[in-house]
Parts: sequence; C-alpha cells; structure tokens
Amino acid sequence: MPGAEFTETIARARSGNAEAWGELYKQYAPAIFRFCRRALPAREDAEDATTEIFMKVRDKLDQYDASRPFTAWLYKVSANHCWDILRRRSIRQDLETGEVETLPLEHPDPGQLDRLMEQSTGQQVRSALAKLPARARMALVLRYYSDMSYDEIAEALGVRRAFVGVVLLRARHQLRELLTGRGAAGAAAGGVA
Amino acid sequence: MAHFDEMTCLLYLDGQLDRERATELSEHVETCAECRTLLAALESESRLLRGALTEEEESVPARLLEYAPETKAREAAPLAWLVTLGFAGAGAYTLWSGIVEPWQQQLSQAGFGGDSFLAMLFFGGVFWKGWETMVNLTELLAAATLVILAVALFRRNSRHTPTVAVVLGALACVLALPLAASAAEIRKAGTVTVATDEVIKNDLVAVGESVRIEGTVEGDAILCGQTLTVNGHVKGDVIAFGEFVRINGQVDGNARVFSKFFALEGNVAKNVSIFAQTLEFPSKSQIGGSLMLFAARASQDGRVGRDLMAFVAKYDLNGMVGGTGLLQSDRLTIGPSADIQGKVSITAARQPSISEKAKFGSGPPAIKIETHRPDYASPGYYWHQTLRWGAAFMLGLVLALLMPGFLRDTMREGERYGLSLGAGVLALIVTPIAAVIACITIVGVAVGILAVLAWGAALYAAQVFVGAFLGQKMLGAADSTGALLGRMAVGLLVIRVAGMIPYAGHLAWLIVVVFGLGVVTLAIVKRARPEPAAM
Repeated sequence: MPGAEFTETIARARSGNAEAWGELYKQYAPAIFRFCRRALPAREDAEDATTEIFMKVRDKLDQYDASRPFTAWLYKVSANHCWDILRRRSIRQDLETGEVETLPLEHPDPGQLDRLMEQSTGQQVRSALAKLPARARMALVLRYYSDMSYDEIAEALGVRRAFVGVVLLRARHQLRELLTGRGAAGAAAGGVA
Repeated sequence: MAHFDEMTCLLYLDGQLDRERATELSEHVETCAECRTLLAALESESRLLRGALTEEEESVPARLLEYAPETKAREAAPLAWLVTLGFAGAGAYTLWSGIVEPWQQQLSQAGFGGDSFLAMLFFGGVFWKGWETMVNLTELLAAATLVILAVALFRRNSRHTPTVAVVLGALACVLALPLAASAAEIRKAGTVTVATDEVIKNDLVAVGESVRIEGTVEGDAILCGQTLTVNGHVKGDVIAFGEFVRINGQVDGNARVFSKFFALEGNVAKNVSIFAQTLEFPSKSQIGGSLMLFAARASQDGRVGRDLMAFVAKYDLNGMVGGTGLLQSDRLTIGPSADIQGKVSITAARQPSISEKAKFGSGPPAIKIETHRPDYASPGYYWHQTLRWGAAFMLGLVLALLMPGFLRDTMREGERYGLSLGAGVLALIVTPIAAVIACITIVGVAVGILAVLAWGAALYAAQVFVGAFLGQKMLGAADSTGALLGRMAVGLLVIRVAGMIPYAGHLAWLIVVVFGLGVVTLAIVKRARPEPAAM
C-alpha cells in the first residue's frame, strides 16, 4: 500500500471504520499468522493467537506512532503476545536457559559448518526450529522472519541489549546440533517448553 | 594475528560492531581463509534461516482470512453463551434422566431410598450393578463427543467464551446439587461421650479419638475417630469412619460404616453398608433392611431382614437372610444355621463349603466358579478389548478438542519420569484420604465426593495421557491435533496390548495409572502456580 493511502487507511481504522479495519486485517493477517506459526508450538495456538493479536491491535491502534513502519509495530505487538503465551506455559523456561547460558560455546569448524548449511533444507530447518526451546526459537523468528533489530529483540524478549547476540548465537548452535542429529534427544526433552 | 571468534563474526554480519572493530575484521578476513569461510558459513546460515522461516509452505486457514475480529464478535458472544449453557443444561438433564434417576429407583428398590442425593451418590454409587457395562462408556462417550464437536464447531467463530461458559455451566450444575447441610451439633474432643441420660435433638457430628454414644441422638450420627461405640439409641442414620467401630445399641435408620474392624451387636432397623477389613455380626444382632458388605473377612450369625449382597474374601455365613443373597467370595462357608429365604447366587474362586443343614427357601444356590484369569481363547475378549480401546480413544478425542493446552502440558510433564511417577503415587493414595477427611465436615461432603469422582475419572483418563505421551515418544512430536490423535491412538493400542499380557499386564496397568495420574497432577500444579517472573 503506498504511503499516503496507507496512512489514511490507518487513520480511518483508528476512527472505527470497519471497512478500513478489514482492509488492514486482510493485508496483514497472513504474515502475522505465519509469524505465530513459527513462534508457537502448534497450529491451533497460532490461529488463536492471530485472532487475539488483531483484537489487541484494534484496541491499541491509537498508540501506534505513524512516523514509524506499521509492520515493525505490528510484529512488536505480536512478539509480546506470543512471548507472553510461551512464558505463561513454561515455568521451567528460566531454568533451562539459565543452564544453557553458562555453558561455553564450542568454536565451529568453518568448513564443516559451511557443508552443513549447504546440505540442510528449509523443511529440516523448520522442524528443527520447532524443537528449540522457546527463547531460542523466538529470537531466531524475530531476527530472521520479522527482521527486527537487536534493540527490538532485546525489548521483546526482555533481555539486555548486549545479550541479544549471545541468545542468537546459542540458538544457532542448538539448531545446528539438531540438524546434525546430535542434540535431538536433549532438545526434544526441552521441546516446545 | 589470531582468528576472530564466531560471536564477533556474527555481530559483524549483523552490523553490530563499531566501525574500528569492523575494519579490523574486514582487513583480517582478506588474508585469513579460515575466518573467510566462517563468515561465509554464517551468512549462508542466515540465508537458510530467513528462507526457511519466510517460505510459505502452508496455507493460511480460511477462517482467519475471512474473519476480522471486530465488534461483530462481541455481539455474537451472548448467543454463544446461550447455546453452550443450553448444551450444559441438556447434558445435565440427560445425565439426570439417563443415569441418576434409574439409579435412584434401582437403589430404592434395593431398600436404599430416602437418603439425600449426595449420600446416595457416595454410598449407593459403589454398589451400582451397572458399573460393569459402564466401564465401556462407549455410548456415553459417543454422545459426549457429538456435543463437544458441536461446541468445537461453534468455537470456530468465537473461541474462548464458550469454553468459559461450559465450565460455568458445569459449575452451576454442581452448585445445584442439594447440599446435605442441616442443623447439626458438632463435638470435637479427645473423648466425646453422649451420656446415658443425654438427648441430642439434632444431628450429631462427633470427631475424637474415642467416641461413645450412651444416650439418644434424635437425628443422624456422623462419627469419626479411632474407637467408635454406639451403645445408646440413634433415631436417624449412623455414618462412621473409624478403626474400631461397634454398634451395640439401637439404630432406627441406616448404618454406613467404613472401618478396619466392625462389630454389629445391636439392631439396625433399616439398611447397612459396610466397608471393613473384619466384620463380626453375632447371632443376637439384626438388620431390618438389606446388608451390603465389602470386607476381607466376615463372620455372620445375625439376621438380615431383606437382601444380602456381599463381596468378602473369606466369609462364614451362618445367619438368617429374609431376601435374596448375592455372594461373591474366594472362600465361602455356609454353616448349618444359615437360612436364606430368597434366591441365592454365589460367585466364588473355589467350590464353597455348604453345610447340609443350611436352608435355602427358594431352591439350592446357583454357584458359578470364576477364576480371575481372562479368557484368551474367546473372541469376545478381544472384541471387549477393542471396545475399551475405542472408548479410551473417544475420551482422548474429547480431551484433545476441549483442552489441547492441558494435554500438551501433561505430555511435557511426562518427560520427568521420576517426578511423574512420584506425584502419581502420591495422588493415588492421598486423594481418597483427603476426600474422606473432607467428608467428615458436613460442608466438606460435597467437596469430598467431587474429589473422589474427579479421582475416579482421572484413574480412567490416565491411559489417555499416557497413550498420547507414549505415541509421541514412538512417532515423534506431533505438530497438529490430527497427528496428536493418531499418536494417541497408537499409544493407547500399545497400552491395551501390554495390559493383556498375563500377570505382567496388571503391573503395566498400575504403571500407566500411576504415571498418568502423576502427569495430570503435575500439569494441574503447574497451572495453579503463579506466572514466573520475566527473565
């Protein structure tokens, strides 16, 4: 949607115009559904979350700062919502990640890593992602699906800015382990927690 | 110069390094093949991730595309409430007319009428003859599934309100149950004694290490303690939970006794039901109505006015019975002074010893020797097993549709085997005890009974949770409800087959029940705990 027209749609939706709201919804619902599908463990959860997110968005539309990109704001609301869901579900989350963070990371063999990346398919990556602990998965989704900056990720996940790189790198390591089949058992136990 | 580490390389690629450090790295990479490969590998990893995440391999559900959440949804909510409350009402009516009412009739025919509904549920439910057919639960569950499916279809439009409505509807049903609370005199002490000349006009609730009634209670007497003795006169019912219970006096109503040792040496005008390890019922004593008896050992010389139904491991029957006798016993001895006027049917593990002098008013007893071993040769056995598998699966279907989140929680808890088994053992033992304790207070009776019902339901449902967990373990994580149901079906089949193994099958079932109860308990505990603090 071109800039001026889009700003107008937002303004109309804000003033309670159902048609404008429908337009916004139709345009963004698929992307938000896909976001939720990646971030949450089950399809039903993603469906529910999408509906809930748009209800929230509708209520919060006044708070949107029109000078910034709408998608970024939308992903921020979605990220908060999904992260809330995940946090509510998994009490063990803190424990799990707490342990992982103190382990030193093994330096990868660049050649081996390169080969792994060449051999892995999108499908394999998706099913490995689904097995990652919630925070690792969420971090990767925010970065590589929603294109969020490190600052935005820090805010969404409630971690320090300086820590975002570590979270992302750990997530990559866990993903690699799953792709090579080494971490399958351990990550399955952590599963969708 | 030393190589750059992976973290720095990632920050460089993501544009997070300051200019100075970035220049340093880019200069290094020009001469260092290893760091160059690492950078390239990290970059292709980013590409792979981006590609995998943004690829639209799955279509967006139609209902999401069509339906924009707006004011319309809010208008639809009251309708959703009405419909679900309607369902709840219809369900409650079906339950009442289909199960509870016939039950009540059956019980009143057996001389168990006239009690409050809750007392009937608690004391009568155990004796209901229809339990065996109920075990399959197939029909009931099929009906429930239909209702739930209808609700689930409705949920497609407005997802959460109806769930809440269903829960509230169920709660309303529970609250509508008549509570057995009435005016009662409550006494709690180390030793509670109702003196010989004392008359209690109301019901009496007495809790103490030793409780003695020498005087008169005009209402019901609910007694709880180690040693309970009724020497006086109770004009209502006696309900007793105790280690040693004796009724030497006169009870005009019914007697319900849960005890280790019970001696009935007085008279009870109406019916008696007993859960006891040992029962003594000597010749001078008598029961006006029917006797229902669950005991490990019982010797009976006294007189039962109407029917006798007994499940006793070692049973010496030597008294008179005015009605029919339905006896199930491993070792049954019917002595010379026994006199049973109605029909007698005996189910025993071995041939009972019956004295030649014993009298049977309606012909010789029908004896069925039944060993506890299942009949592996009969096709009926397998058909039965299949039906049970189907019933369990239907329950699983209902659970998966009604509370998918909870089901997933239980599967997650299952990963902690030791904790789950421990929690299961605890829940298995503690719940009934807690329920009995709750029953001691009048208001707690409802809570206690609900706890026992929920516990019973959980015992049955345990296989569903374990089935889902097992299926997932065997076939990998399910990413949709359909896949989850498939895994559950396989898991349930495995459990069913394991349960059919001679001898070891019992152990398998015990493990399933304990483990299932454990994961359910843990999942409930987890939900009940407050949200964790943000990291």
